[in-house]
Amino acid sequence: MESVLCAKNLKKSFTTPAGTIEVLRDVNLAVAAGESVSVRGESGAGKTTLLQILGGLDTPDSGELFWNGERITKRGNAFLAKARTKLIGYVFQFFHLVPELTALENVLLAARIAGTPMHQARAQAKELLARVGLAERMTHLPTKLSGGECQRVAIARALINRPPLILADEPTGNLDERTGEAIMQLIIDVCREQNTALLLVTHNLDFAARTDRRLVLRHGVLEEI
Amino acid sequence: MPWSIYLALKQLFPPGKRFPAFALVSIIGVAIGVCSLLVVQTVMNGFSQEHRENIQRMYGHEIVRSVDYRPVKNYKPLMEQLRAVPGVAACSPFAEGQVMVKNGNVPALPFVRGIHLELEDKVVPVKKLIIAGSLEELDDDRVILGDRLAHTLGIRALGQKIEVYSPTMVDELKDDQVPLPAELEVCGIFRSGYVPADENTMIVSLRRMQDLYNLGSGVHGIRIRLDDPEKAIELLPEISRALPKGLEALPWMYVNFNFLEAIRFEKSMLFFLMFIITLVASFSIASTLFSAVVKRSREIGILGALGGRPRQILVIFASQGLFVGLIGFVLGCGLTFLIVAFRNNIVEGINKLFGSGEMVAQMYMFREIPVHYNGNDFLIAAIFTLATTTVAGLIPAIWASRKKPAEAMREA
Ligand SMILES: Nc1ncnc2c1ncn2[C@@H]1O[C@H](COP(=O)(O)OP(=O)(O)OP(=O)(O)O)[C@@H](O)[C@H]1O
Ligand SMILES: [Mg+2]
Repeated sequence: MESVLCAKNLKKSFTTPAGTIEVLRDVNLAVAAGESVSVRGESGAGKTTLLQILGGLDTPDSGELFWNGERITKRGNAFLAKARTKLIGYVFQFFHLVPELTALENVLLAARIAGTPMHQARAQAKELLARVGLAERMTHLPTKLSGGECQRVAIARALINRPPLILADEPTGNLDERTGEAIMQLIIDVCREQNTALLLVTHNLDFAARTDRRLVLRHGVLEEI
Repeated sequence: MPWSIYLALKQLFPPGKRFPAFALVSIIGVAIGVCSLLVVQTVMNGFSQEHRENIQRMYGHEIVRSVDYRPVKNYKPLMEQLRAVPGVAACSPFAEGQVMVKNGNVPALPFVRGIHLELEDKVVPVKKLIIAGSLEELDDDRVILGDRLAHTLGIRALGQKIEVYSPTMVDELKDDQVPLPAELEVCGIFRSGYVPADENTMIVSLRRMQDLYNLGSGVHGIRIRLDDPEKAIELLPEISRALPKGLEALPWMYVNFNFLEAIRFEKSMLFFLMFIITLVASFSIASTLFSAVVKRSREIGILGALGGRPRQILVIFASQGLFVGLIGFVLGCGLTFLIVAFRNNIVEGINKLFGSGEMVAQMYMFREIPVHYNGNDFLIAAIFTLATTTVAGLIPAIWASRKKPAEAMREA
């Protein structure tokens, strides 16, 4: 089966006044459709950087990246943005909701950006918010929601376009243990329901154990364990 | 509604915030700029419009007179010929000049217009200007005075008599004759609204003026009304063709030409000044919007991560500038109408504060501040405002949309 995401020999380094940091030395990765993969690594190992490059938010220094078999290295911002709406849902550690929009509008936003007509998007968004347990809080602004609720909104937002791949960067890193547990279970369950592939960055061994495949990013290289 | 526009509106007027400071301050800034621009332009237009109307009201649209100011003899066939020129609506002979008048011991040196009793009103609207008495009562022994002139002379009621001395009486004095002043009865008062005319003009019959100036059957010229006053210069060649040698036609625009030009020049200068004021306002909007964009750097990254294209992100911020411009412009127009409507009260208030009573009338020769709305001024102000505020939003937006989402998210 073809992989939704495929990376070959990715390299990335940052140049700072203090010197050059080689974050990714040689990353190779393939994520099959519907598969869940976890990535662990020490703080500063380059997990966020890796996820950003895989999601097309940043460009690698060298190496190649394929989305659904299409080579996307060196494509322009506009192309990447458009391709992203069809392929990838992002979940961030700090939720990153748009503060001026309500829970429902935040979810709708992703659908509208992808070009879904309003009536259709609204129905889907309501359904998804109900699925993540926020049926009663749709009209609330992010400032009126708890951290766990915000992350539920972010998950609904990542899922609304039914992307074949979810990239999640420590989605529970900012939540207490019990809420984190619930959120993580939600992500894994929903991805399984929708047959969505999941690339999950986490520190938590428990969570990592629930994924199909477990990787560690160490010295700029991904190792299977 | 496109999502980028929706988001722009939400960012401009954040829900749950009763006082969207950024939006309000920027909008008020634009409104004040637009308002000052438009008020100044409207008043300047008013001055020039009022002045043009005054000239036409007093002068007609065109006059024919001899090049060397000598009396025109035998004017009746000439009138026939002028009337035949297409575009000429009416004409009337006139004689005019300076005289001295006395009411008891009070003297004045007014300008006299000797008018044809039937024809004059067909050329300039004399009847409409009369506020007491009537034009019909005017005959060779009667006179109509400007209201301020009547006031200066101490005329309290119609029917009072004044003595009139003409320059030709000086010649009689030289010949050792004793000139007798003409005694004329005041039968009307007029008010044109143009202060110099009201202060210094009286109207008599043509025959009386021919008498006073020893013109015999001659006149000083012929006043013409055209179908379209704006064609006064255009029709000049046709009219000139109807004239015998030694006579010339002068369109109304040539009267006080310098004054009209000065007003036009003043208007452009003021526009330029106001333009700079509005430009400064735009820069302040640009800087506020710029800091707003920087503050939203992470959000820009998120929108990118959600698949928002650079152009759409551009639209979000550029349209915020456009909205500020649009609302500010509408508000500025409203403010303009308000100030213009209450301009006389405002000036009155200022006069009361500084205690200068008839300032406007004395300085500007009009009884109230004249205004004239010109659609073009509004159009130019609109285009200019919207363009600058949009660009003000666009520049930081371009900067923001160029960045990779990862970069944008790291900042903030
Ligand atoms: N734009 C940048 N410029 C310079 N250095 C950077 C930049 N982005 C990341 N780095 C460096 O790259 C390394 C990897 O950063 P990254 O955020 O990917 O780590 P991480 O594995 O996500 O860490 P954490 O678990 O703490 O989130 C760090 O040493 C960081 O300082
Ligand atoms: Mg990280």
